[in-house]
Parts: sequence; C-alpha cells; structure tokens
Amino acid sequence: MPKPNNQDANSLLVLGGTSAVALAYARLRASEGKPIILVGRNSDKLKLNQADLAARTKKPVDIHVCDLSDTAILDKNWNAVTSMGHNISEVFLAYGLLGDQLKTQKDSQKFLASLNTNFVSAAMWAEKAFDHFAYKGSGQITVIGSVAGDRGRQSNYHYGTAKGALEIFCDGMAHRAARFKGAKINILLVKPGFIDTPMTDHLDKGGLLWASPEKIAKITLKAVFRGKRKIYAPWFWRFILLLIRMTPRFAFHKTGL
Amino acid sequence: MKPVLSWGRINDKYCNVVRADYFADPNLLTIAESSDNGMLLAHGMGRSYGDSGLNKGGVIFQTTRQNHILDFDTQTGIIKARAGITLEEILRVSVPQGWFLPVTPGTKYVTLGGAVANDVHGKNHHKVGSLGAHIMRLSLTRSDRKTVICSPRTQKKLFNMTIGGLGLTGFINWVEFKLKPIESSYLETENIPYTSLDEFFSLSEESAKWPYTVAWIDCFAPKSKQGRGIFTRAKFSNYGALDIHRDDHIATWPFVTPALFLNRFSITAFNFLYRWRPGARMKGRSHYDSFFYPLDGINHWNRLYGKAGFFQHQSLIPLERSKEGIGDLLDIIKESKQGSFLAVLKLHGPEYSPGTMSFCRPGKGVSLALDFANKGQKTRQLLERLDACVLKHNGRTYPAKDGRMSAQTFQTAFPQWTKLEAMRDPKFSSSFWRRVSQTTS
Repeated sequence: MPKPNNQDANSLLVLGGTSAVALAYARLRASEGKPIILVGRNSDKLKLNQADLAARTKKPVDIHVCDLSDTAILDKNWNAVTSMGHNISEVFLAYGLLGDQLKTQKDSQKFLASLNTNFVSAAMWAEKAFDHFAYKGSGQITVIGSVAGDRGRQSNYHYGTAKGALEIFCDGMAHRAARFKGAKINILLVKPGFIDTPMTDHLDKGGLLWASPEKIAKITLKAVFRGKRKIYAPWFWRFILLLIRMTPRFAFHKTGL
Repeated sequence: MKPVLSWGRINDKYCNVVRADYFADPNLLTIAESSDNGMLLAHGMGRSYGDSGLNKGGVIFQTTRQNHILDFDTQTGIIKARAGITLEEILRVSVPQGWFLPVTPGTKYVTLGGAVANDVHGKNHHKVGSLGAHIMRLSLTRSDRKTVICSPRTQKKLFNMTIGGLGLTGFINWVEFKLKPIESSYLETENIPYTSLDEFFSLSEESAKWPYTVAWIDCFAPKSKQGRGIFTRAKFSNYGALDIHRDDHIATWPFVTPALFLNRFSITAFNFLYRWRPGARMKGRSHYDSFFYPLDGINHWNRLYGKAGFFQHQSLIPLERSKEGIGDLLDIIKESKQGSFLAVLKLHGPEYSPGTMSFCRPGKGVSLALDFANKGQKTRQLLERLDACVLKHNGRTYPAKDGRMSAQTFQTAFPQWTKLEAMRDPKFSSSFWRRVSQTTS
C-alpha cells in the first residue's frame, strides 16, 4: 500500500475511531483540512467513518484495525500507527466501555477486562503518545474521561475507578510536561456528563443534563485551542460534581446514586 | 410509547421511538414488532408540520445517527450520503468546495431522507423542478425483499414512487444526487413591493430568468390591493467568499407564546412592520443562510404560535386557474379574520421530478403557503373551506404540511394514491397515511 506523504500537515490520531464523540471531533478537525488516522476494532464501521471524513478533509484518512485494549500487542500497534506516513500532532483518546456493573461485580475476569479497556491500555497509549511528542518537541493529547471518576458511587464505581485513575494519570503527565524544557505538550482531560450516544441508549434520556456528541466535540475543540488542561463538558457539571464531592458521607450513603 | 410532537405541535401521537445505530442497517422486521400495531416509519428531524412523520401506536425509527457522507466528488459535484444526514451538514461540507444544494426547502434542518420522501421544492422550482429531479440513485431496504438500488433506469417504478412517497415504500439508506456549482455563498437579491395579484404575475413573468423567486403577501390587504406584498428575486453572485452559515442559532424562542398575543391585530401590525422594514425595498447581497433559511435563525420558532400549536396549509393551483383561485383563497382567509404571518406565494414551473406522488407534479401553477395559529374548530373549518376551494380550482394540498385534510380531499387531488398503496412496504405506515387512505363513500 502506498504511504501517504503528510509530513507537512499535522495529523490527528483518533483512538476509538467509532465512538460518537470521536467521530464528531474528527469531523470538526476534518473541516479544517487535517489528515486523520482512525484506530478501532470494527473495520466496517471504521471504513464508514473513513469515507465520511475523507469527503470532508480532502486529505488522507487512514484506518488501523486493532483491539486497543490488547495491552500485549500495544507496542506493535503503536509502531504500525506511527509508520503510516503521518506527522501526528494530536492524539484523541476516546474509547471506553461503560459496562454493566452488575455483571462486572460477579465476574472478576469481566471486571479486569473493563479496567484494561478504560484505564490500563488507555494510560499505555497516552504514555506512548507522550514519548512521541517529547521526542518531536510538541503535541496535543486529549483524553475523554468522565464525571463518574470524581467520586465513587455504588452504581458504577467499576467504571468510575478507571476514569478516576485516568484523571490522576493525566495530572501526572501534565506535571511532567510542564517541567519539560523545550518541548510543548498539552494534555487535556475532558469530563463529560451525560452524552446522548448509543452507549447510553438503555437509559431514559431527555432534559437539560443531556448533551449531544457534537456539542461535547465543539466544547473540546475550543478547550484545545485555548490550551486548557481539564474541563467539564458542558461547564455546569463542574458545579454538580462539586456538590456531589462535598456531600458528607453519611448523607451521600443514603442516596442510591 | 412516548408522546411525539410534529413541527406544528398539534398532532402529538404516542409512538415507540427507536433510534438508528450509527452504522448497522436496520432490521426492519424486528423494529416493527416492537410496537403495538406492528408498523414503522422512518423519522428524521421531525420538521413535517402535521402527521405525515408520525405513527400512532407504531414505531418511529429515528434516522439522524445515520449521517455519513459516503462519497463526494468535488470535480463533478456528485454526493452520496446516508439518509439521516441533514441538509445543514451537507452545506457545511459542500459550500467551501463551491457546491450548493440543487433545490432547498425553507429550512436546512431536514434530513436528506425526509427531503426525498416529500420531494421538497424551493424558490427555484420554476427553473429546475423539485429535489427529485436531481436524484441519481437511492438505496431502499424493504421488509419484504432484499435491499434494492433504484434509479431512473433500474427499478424505475420503485424509484418514482419513493420520491415524494412519504417514506412508505421502505427505508431509504442512502441517496446520491448532483449539487449545483456556486462561485460565492452570497446572492444578489432584489426586493420589490407590489400592490396587486396582477402585479405578482407580471413580476413573476418579468423575472422568469432569475433562478430564485418568491413573494411574501399580506393576507389582510384591502380587496382593492388583494395579494399585495413583496416580491423577491435572487441569483448566486459570481464573486465573493465561499463562507458557510454560522454555527449557532441567533436566538431561541424562549417560551410558548400566550394565545392572547396571536390575533388579527398582531398579524396586521406584523404585516405593516414587515412591509415597511428597511430591507423590504432592498437591492443588495445576502448570504444563503439569511436568504433561504430566515427562520432557522430562531431555534424553536414553532413555539411562536402558542400552546395550541399551528397549522400549515400549502396548496398548488394550476396556472390557468391560479389568478382566480388565489383570489378566492385570500377572500376566504380575510373573511375568516384568521390571518397568517408569513403567507408565501410562488410561481411553479413545469415539473421535472419523476416522483409519482410529488406535490408539484401537475406542473405550472401557483402555490400559496399559509400558517394559522390553532384556534380549534374555527381554524379547522377555515382549512376545510380552503381545501374545498383548492379542489374547485383543480389544485391540491401538500401532505408534508398537513395534519387534517380529509381522505376525500386527498384522494381527489392525488388519484394515483392507490399506486403508492400497492407499492407500500407492508410494514410501513404513518398516521397521515392511515387517515387519508380510508375508504370514502
């Protein structure tokens, strides 16, 4: 396969190229004329997104099919992605699995797999991206976290733990980046609230708390332009989570949240 | 089952709402089975005014996630996209490349599938026909056979029936059509006030070469000035930037307007202001967004008509009867004292669209679009009288905007409806269709 020559243009690498937020974000970037690499597991879905983005950007859009959560061959996948002929300047890490906690509580292998997907592999990819940008001198790493990582709640602390750990990881990377002399790496952690995606279709939706993937993508892009490190999306979740974190334990434990 | 409101906010029907996946083609049989009556209907942005997009007791299958562009050739302007994409999104992609929609309705917030199913027309109908005339191919999934690709050459009957087929011939997967080249996203527009229906016709004739023409009329004008209004004509400019429309709405209509403010005095005042606003005598340039989609600037403008909602009524009267017919319609409205803020008059050209059921099918004529706040029985009576008048002049009423026309009215104006009924996918139906396909005595 001929390698596209994109050394001049700065490419966006999307990890989790079939996620709704990732597609919305990649569409915004495509309209700026960025080349894009989509990584994900399902090749049919990736191809559909590839065609859509290619129509928008008029620059090469490539796909790499792999299981992002497979930590055993993660290095190999990273090498494959970075040798596609793109000059990657931005990594957008959007994959994740909400999972059903009633199942992961009963099945420790499933629990392990969900931790692997939502935290272990994600952190490993982020670390790879960090090294890549440290060598190159600059780069943007954008990670989709969740408000679920702000406080452990009985109904979804399995998912929340992984997202909370990812936040600590991003904090650490940001600290490391800040102490770098010469290299400019920005790490942005986005903590969305409820997003109207297929991942949440089993819930009852509607009302002001729900945001579309397009809205989250727009907020994220604005934060990237402004060099932000951590945002809630939309902004009001900051205050909702502030209240949730400040609720004293005796009161919090009476709720079924 | 959830209550679903159509754009006119009158026909709320309880439907089982199922949302399309981003990627997979739908399994129609399984989806249809999830409802009480076993019927389904594809539903896009819900911009149809009445019940043609609703399916009481059945499934409405929301397509907006199936919004991928599958192919876009910037050399030829041929675009292939999934049916759930909005025209807004297409413009976002095509305009910077110098391509515009061949035909556009008055809002960009409709899906491509919905636009095909209603064979929408626009201000350039007199030159290029409705959207159906520009469709090259489409893919249709039916519950009773495999997915078929239809075009004017293959599966021609199904193709012709799907264009303007009210979404009843099956699920539209994707549509391929040809865009129109533009050199700028700005139009050169002229607004010309005029004072009578005769003048409307002479202006329309004089402007035959202009690609876009339309007129706003004041339906409370005195009899001597019947049909007065503002005639607008425009063409795309051949210089200027290829700017896309702005991202957000300018404003949101914040609440449902109390009925108290919707009466003939407020409408007369509105009409007066509209007629004397600075732009009413403008000759200048406007962006496509403000020219084609003035109401899109206000999010939820349909709340303007109050809690009871509103009716739209659009009719098309053949050219030879149009002067008399439009005059009669305006007389009925004036007499009823229920006016319309935005009454729109448009000279239609011959129809080039292959759609068997297309609204614009009879060819040359004049269409009049009106909206009326819902004041209960008296508004329904007025609409009945308008329907009767339209039929008397061999005209027809537009299904996409209707939520109440009688089966008899529909069947008289669209005698070919039996062909659609015969080719309808047995699992597809709508509230509108069940109403208008009833046996009449």
